[in-house]
Amino acid sequence: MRSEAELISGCVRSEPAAQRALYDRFAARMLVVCLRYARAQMEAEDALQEGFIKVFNSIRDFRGDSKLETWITRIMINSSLNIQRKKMYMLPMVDVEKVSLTESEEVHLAGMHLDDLIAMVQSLPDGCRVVFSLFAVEGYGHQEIASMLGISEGTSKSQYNRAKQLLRAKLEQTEKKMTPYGKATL
Amino acid sequence: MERQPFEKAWHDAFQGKEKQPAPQIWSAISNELANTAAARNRRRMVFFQWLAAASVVFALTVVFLNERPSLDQQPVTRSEQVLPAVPQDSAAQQTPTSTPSDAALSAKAQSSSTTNSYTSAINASPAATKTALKQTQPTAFLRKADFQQRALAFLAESRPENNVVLPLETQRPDAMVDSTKATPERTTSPTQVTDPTPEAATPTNPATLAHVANEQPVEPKKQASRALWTSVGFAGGGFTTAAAGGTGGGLEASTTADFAMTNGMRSSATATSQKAQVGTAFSFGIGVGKMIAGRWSLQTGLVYLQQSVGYTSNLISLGTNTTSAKVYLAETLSATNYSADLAITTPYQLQAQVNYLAVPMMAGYVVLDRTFSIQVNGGVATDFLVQSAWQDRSGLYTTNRQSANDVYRPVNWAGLFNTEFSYRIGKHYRASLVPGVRYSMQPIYRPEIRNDLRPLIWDIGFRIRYQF
Repeated sequence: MRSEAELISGCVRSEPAAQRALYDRFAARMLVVCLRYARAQMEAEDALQEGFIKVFNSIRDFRGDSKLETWITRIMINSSLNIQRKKMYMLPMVDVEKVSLTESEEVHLAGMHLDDLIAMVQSLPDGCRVVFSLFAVEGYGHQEIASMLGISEGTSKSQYNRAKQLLRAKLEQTEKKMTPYGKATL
Repeated sequence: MERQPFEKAWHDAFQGKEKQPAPQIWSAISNELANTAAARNRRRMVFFQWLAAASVVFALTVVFLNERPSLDQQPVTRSEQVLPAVPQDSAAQQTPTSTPSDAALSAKAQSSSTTNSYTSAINASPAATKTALKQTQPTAFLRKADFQQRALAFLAESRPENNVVLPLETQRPDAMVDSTKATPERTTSPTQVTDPTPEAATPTNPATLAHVANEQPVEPKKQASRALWTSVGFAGGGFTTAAAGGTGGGLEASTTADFAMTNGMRSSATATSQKAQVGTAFSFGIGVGKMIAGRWSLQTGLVYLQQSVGYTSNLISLGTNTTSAKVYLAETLSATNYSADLAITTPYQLQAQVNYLAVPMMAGYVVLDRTFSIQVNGGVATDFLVQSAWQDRSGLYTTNRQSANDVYRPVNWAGLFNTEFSYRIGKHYRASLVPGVRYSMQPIYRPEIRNDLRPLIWDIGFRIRYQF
């Protein structure tokens, strides 16, 4: 297996074999990233395609300040957001009612299948889904999210709380179905 | 907001998770990358196209400007035609040292027409010639140096003692006077020396005057220095990949037929080859040239030419063994060469390369012959196919090397045009930049392929010329 540095230098020289190897190494993980922001599989695949083209065209700019996977993930997120942003402009995010969640609540998702998790996230409204993925999974702060999406910090927080509320409801439904095999609790 | 177990649970749930994307995604990405690369090449080649076009325009401009002086000199020709009408005694009365007659001649010149001034000048003493020249220049549209050259050339011819030694730039009237004084037999009688016989003094033959005046003493030396030369060089550029009459650069060729599928089935499928709009061309070679007449030259040589272009194809040739599938192009399919060993597969990228050995034969015209020279060349080349190869970039399929009896014509013809900008870098050497174009006069594929692809190559070359 070629090292990361060899892959990067091969891609800088536009070697098809290196590009293919890089794609093979990261495509599966990046598709999961894109799926978290997309409403459907096809939308995620569009973002994946767009993202990898951007990766290959701008890999000369990769300076090695972060891990290659982190850099590619950021590009995939941006690519997904580019697709989502248009929809969010059409349906601007507004503050939703504050929801009160107990800070001590825990959730056990380890036993759940990836497809179920993705389906649960994809069932969220566009704005909620994006804010939830950025905050809960990627680890961005609300200030950063507000800056990335061009919304207020308060909107980001309220969208996240809304997402949390909806997911809790989904998990409760799933818990009832999954009882014989596992338990998801809030 | 603090990170809570809720966020951590979701983060961990997605950490390192994978889901295989559909195989078509990579095909779409690789196609997009190929198109991006082609667009980049196209932008790069546009520069060379503009360079070639600019050099041609520049060369034509220089040719035009080079022809202008001969038009400007037409009044001189008219003057030459009236020379026999001038009274011969006006020349006979002059001596190189006779100042009074200078004044008389000046007065006469002032009262004469432009033609008479010129005629008087060439028959008069050197000092009078200068005076007449000054008066003549503005009205006769003659350049001073030009007029002086013609007048002095005539004087040199009419005086046998001045014919031999003096370079043109030293044939000043006063120089001639000095040499006359220094020679004993000339000092015996200035009048005898300077007094021409009627035949010699009278420009009864205008053609002789024109001939003498136009002679460039250094020209024979120049001709000899570049009479024969040899050169070595290389060139790089691009070429169009569109077939004649094709639309939008003729990027895609497709054929629907009953092909084998890579899953072992047979089905009516579409074989498609999509190519970049611009390919790359590289050549190197040696040449020999000779000046054949005046500014005209003839040159030939031996050139190795390589053309390559990127394709995306979904067609392969399985041959007898499916483990050694070779790349294939839908573009080269004809109605007669479908065979059971051709199969449709997922699109892949390949590089098509054709190598020729070319023998160019070009006529050239030297537009400017100085330290910096310009030569315009045009001609034809006979291209002999050496080998062609289609190579899969991903390495999944075997390279398909073809001999001269395959899809490409074994012999082809091409028209050539280039402009050679050269600079003398030594007594025998010149370095040249040669932008030019090359057009295939026949399709590069054999007639049964029915693909009218005639590449137009534009390139810029570098040559070193050795002049014997």
